[in-house]
Amino acid sequence: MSHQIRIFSLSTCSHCKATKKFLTDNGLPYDYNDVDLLTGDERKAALAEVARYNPNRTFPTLLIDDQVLVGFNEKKIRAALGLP
Amino acid sequence: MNVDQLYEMLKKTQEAKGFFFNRDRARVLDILQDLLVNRERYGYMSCPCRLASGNRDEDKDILCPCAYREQDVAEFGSCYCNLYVSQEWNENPALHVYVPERRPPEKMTAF
Repeated sequence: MSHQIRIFSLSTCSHCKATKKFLTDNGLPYDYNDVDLLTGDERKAALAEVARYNPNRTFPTLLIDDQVLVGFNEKKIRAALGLP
Repeated sequence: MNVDQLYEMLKKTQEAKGFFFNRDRARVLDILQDLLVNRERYGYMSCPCRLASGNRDEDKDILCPCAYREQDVAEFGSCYCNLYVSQEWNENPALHVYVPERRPPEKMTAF
């Protein structure tokens, strides 16, 4: 079963890197926005979108289908993906 | 200053205060490298796991070591980034839990 996976991340954040690595290691494609690398209106729009899913606007904010996961919590990510 | 020099300098000064580096040296060097990236980018070592505003005064609570390190290490055995940890945290992986963001959302002024 394929999943729609998207990450709001920071290019400098170790938890964000761990999340991306976990998905890559498990062969799961994903989209991401490194918000710290965005500027101007693009950055404002990305932050407004993060706030919709995660009012604290912390990173990583991970969207798996309709689920929102904040931070790198491998157990929760596995559960959301139906992985053992 | 390169990342190895930063590692040695901080290890000495911070361990003396009771804050230990995560035993995973590669992870620590990666985080320290990102601190150097942020210093290059913003002019100050803003926490690499938090979005900096670019205004040093507004970000003074997240200059590393951040204002939340002490409470986070006391409560969770680790700071938000897993950079600074307690000796128990290093010795017992069962203690490794997600450290939630302690910084009040209103302080996050990066837009």
